[in-house]
Amino acid sequence: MIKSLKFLIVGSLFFVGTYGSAQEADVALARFNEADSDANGSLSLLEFKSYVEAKLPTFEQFDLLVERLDADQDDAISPEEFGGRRDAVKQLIANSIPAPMEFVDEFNLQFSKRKPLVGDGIGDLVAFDENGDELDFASLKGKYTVLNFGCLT
Amino acid sequence: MYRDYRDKDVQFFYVYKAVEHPEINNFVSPLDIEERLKHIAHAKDRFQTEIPWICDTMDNKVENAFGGAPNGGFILDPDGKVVRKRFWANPQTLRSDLEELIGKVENITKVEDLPTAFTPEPRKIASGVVPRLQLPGRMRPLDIEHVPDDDNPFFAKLRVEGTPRLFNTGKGKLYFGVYLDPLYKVHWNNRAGKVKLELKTEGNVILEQQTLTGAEVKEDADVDPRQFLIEATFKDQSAPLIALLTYTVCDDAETFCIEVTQEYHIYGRSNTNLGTRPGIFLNEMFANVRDMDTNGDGDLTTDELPLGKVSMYVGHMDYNANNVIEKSEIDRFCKMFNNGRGVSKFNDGRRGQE
Repeated sequence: MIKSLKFLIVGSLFFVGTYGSAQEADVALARFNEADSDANGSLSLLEFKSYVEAKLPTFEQFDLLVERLDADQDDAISPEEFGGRRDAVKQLIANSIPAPMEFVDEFNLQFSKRKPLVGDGIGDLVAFDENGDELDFASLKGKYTVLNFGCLT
Repeated sequence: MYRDYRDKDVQFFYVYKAVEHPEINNFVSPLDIEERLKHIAHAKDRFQTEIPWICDTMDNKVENAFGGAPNGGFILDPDGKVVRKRFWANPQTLRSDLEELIGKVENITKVEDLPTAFTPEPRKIASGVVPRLQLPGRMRPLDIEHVPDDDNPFFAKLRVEGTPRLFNTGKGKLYFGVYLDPLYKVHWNNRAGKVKLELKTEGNVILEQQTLTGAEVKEDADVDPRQFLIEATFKDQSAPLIALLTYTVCDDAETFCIEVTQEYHIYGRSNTNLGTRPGIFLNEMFANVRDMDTNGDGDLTTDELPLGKVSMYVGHMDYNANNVIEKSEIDRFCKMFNNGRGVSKFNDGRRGQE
């Protein structure tokens, strides 16, 4: 998750640094002004929070962003912590947030490097079937098997 | 997909693992395999799915063996080797993968061909009557063990979380949430007394308070969680803090009422298997959405929405994109969000069926 945030911020900076133009600067300013609801020329934490919450596809990503800013880990973002990264935050907002599918692609990329790799076997693994009886994953061999992970929440 | 490929030597399984975001739709983390199997039975019934389920072990061996992707999707070949892996499974990618591996299907099953997901009747017990605590952000669950109770199920479950500072320095905020498990269909009996949490420590934890008592509630019965937030210092993260939870519940059918005391052992270390509560903004933001209609015309206009949240509300609720959230959109949204009690991941219930 941290990596995805890094990707997000670095990606945003890269975009501005490489392809920055007058038109993009206008868009950046417009978005900053949109977030600056009291129009005082700076973003309060509340304004920042409201704007980023509205843009981030999931709440976990907002938590990650706060974690990144909260350098002393005191569960609050001081003006110094916020101000010290103001440019990065402005650029992050200015470039909007990648669409959810772009996050999924990034997760997939990171995940593809994690074991089990494509081509790996699963090894000894025992869980339960829906009746509570033991289920050995070795018993799944012989057919293609689709596994879809999830829960009620 | 299941219907399209089940006769082509492809077997499908849902893998039910730890609850990822407890509180959504009021679900709480099961304490043992029997309770997790109840979750599976509920999900199977609710989504009317024919796909068989695999129940992960309580320490999530299967999820961890597959790389720890809570919504992951995998295809194994007949030799049991991974041939496709996705951090976040989605139907389009899965179909594309199966078309590559097995071949295309001529007559694809349509969503309307599937049985309609079952929507549970809303409960008639009061909810939303106990104000929620504003909790610090980024709290993480503490490791917790329950002492098995041979006489009664854990109708209510204790969840304990700490701020990052608590884990880093031993000193921080400690949150105790007492949640009714909806699978037992019980409610608090407020006439019989308040929920009480007694904390016992042999000097290994310094607590701001050792006895926590739930709020006074006017209603005779309700299903709201009881929440407590105190300062705590863990001197030894391996020694347990003992919690005795006493409460009285009645079943919704009014066939029994019972007072129980159940014991938990809490450790000052994080347990990532216990998931994270949904961000407070989603649940609370939409909890009183109907009250925002200040002129009472049934619609919400942007000037009635909270400052700073306008784009979020409009983005989520304005289905016809006319910048006014009409009554039908509010009704639709509240239904989807379980009348404000939580976010429904499955929305109209068909997500899990593709």
